[in-house]
Amino acid sequence: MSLTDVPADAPESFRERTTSLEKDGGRKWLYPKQPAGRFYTARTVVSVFLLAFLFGAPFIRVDGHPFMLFDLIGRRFVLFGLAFFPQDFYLVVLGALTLLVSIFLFTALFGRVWCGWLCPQTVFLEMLFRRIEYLIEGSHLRQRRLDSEPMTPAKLIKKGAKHAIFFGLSFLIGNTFLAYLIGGDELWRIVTDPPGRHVVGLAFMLLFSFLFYGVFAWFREQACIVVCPYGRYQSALMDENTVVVTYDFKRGEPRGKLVRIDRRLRSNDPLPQRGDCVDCHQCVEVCPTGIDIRNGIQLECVNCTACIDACDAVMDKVRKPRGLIRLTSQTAVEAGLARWITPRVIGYAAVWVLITSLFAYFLLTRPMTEVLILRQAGTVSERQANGDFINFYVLQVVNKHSYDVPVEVRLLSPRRGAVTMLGEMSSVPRLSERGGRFFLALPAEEITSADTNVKFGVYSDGQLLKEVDTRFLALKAN
Amino acid sequence: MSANEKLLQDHEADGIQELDNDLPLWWFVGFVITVVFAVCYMVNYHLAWGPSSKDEYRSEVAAFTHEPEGAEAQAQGPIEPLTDFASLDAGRIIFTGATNNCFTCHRSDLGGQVGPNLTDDYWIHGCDLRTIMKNITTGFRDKGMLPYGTGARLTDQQVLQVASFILSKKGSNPPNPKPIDPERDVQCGGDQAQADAAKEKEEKAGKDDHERREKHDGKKDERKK
Repeated sequence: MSLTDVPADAPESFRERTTSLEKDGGRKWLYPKQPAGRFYTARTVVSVFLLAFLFGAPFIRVDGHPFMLFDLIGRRFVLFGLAFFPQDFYLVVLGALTLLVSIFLFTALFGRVWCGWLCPQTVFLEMLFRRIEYLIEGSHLRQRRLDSEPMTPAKLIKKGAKHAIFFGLSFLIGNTFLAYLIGGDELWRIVTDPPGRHVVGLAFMLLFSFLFYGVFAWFREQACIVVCPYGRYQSALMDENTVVVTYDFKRGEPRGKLVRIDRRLRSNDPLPQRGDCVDCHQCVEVCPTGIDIRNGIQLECVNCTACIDACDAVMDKVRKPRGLIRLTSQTAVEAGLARWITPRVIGYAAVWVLITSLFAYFLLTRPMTEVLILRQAGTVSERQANGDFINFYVLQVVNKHSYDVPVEVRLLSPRRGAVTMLGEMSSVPRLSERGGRFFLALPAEEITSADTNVKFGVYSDGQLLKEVDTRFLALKAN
Repeated sequence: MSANEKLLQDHEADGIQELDNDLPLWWFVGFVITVVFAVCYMVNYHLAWGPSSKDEYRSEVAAFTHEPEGAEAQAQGPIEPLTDFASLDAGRIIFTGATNNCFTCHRSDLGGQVGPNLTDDYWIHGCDLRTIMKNITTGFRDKGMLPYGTGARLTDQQVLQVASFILSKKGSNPPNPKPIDPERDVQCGGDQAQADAAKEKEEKAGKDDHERREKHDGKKDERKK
């Protein structure tokens, strides 16, 4: 079967190079038409929600601490109100594996849903930057015309305004990202400070904004085609059973422009056999990556479903049923029946169940306080005036709760001995770690060997947090 | 093979053939930049005039661990303990504060508990101002005293304030002081030769230990039982 009658070795076929590059490697700028339809509306709703979350989350506080925080420098992470410290790094590994397997599974089933609907690249580009471009420069036809015109004051104003807004928006996004790293309050403090105090930070922010601006003003779909690793290994994740944006070639071919049949001419020629595709080229016009979906699923297609809307609109006009381009699989088009339970899907699903259960288990049972007691490095033992032996210990407590936790160290074994804290460590504030020292004094009668086992109990408000077994060294002079 | 044969590479992988299209300019320029950068970096840091990793490490260590002793301090001339109220009070605040925790081992009245009594005339490691400042800076790890007490860094001025505070308490006779350790304490200024001899003994013991350990490690391979 063949999706198109363009032979594989025809010159300048779509198979020879990507749609946005010229023969010499130069960029072929795309002017996609703004789509309109139920899919575009649905995407807009999803994007509004995602953008609201992105811009709003750093400023939401739960129980007095941030809702989302990725403090890389302080090594504290808060996701949806839950705090994660470096001690929880194994969860990051498990989480990343879970995410990866999930991606494999849903890509095998649903194709590039992420790319067209959820990815920040698409959301920012299609829903923010391109909309602004349509607003200022007009429709895709006007944009094309404007670009081919020489520079006039009107053009300068339009281009200048557009790029200024683009840069301002990039600056805003950059600051929002920073808010995720340092917290919304800290960002606000920096923003309301005089700029002279944060020259280096401002310089980096401007650089970052410039990069962002560069991506959305110029790089655009090249990110999806050339840079994004997810885009590049699509062909390994999808097959003919995957549900993607598909042109129903059985229904649509052979394509051809509508021909008016004059009923007054009684001709004996049979009516030309036509598929539903009227070759209006609208699916190509709206495509942000510039492909012709009628050639089948391609490297550049991000499943944005703009072509679905465009084709549906035309089908409505020629009074044919919608869905000539729709979300379905190639197998479904060919054989009429979708096959979802394939060996690939079964395999991915099995691994997914396993890894997700593992991740959920460790996530739900992780300890909320971490206690560490070690003998202080480099010390052996000391003697007090009354003959007691002393060992120094280092105490470290990580508190992942959203409330302060009182801390108390008690000696559980041997019976006789005194713990003396060195410095203030009676309480660990929320979402932080505290380190301190203490020494244990054991009476000389308790010491029977150079190496005694001792057991400490770290308590919080009377409740045992952790029992720690460690050693007590005592070197008697004689 | 395609009609445009010049577009295809020679090899194929599992039936997938690779086209040889021209690269976008930004890609190519970026690649060239990375090559140039790599060459410059390599030459600068590993072949020619830039600091090596060892050099960078050494300069960082030197910047961090500079002591009030040494050529700089000597060059500044003799130092005297501070005696004004503000400096002594600053020293007291550091001594009894939670950042450096001196009081937890030496007691707030400096009588000594885990650490020695600092108010009498008997000192284990030397009693002149410079030495005291140096000892505050280095600590005595095996006895439980980290640099600056807890490892929390103090400026030279702050160390001077603390040392001045300590010296100002000399002779203050706190109740129940920690007894003198006859094996280690040396009377201040009294028997300098004895103090020097004790110091040498300490150092030699340390060096012997170190040498013995090295020999042992070296002999490990050839040791016969």
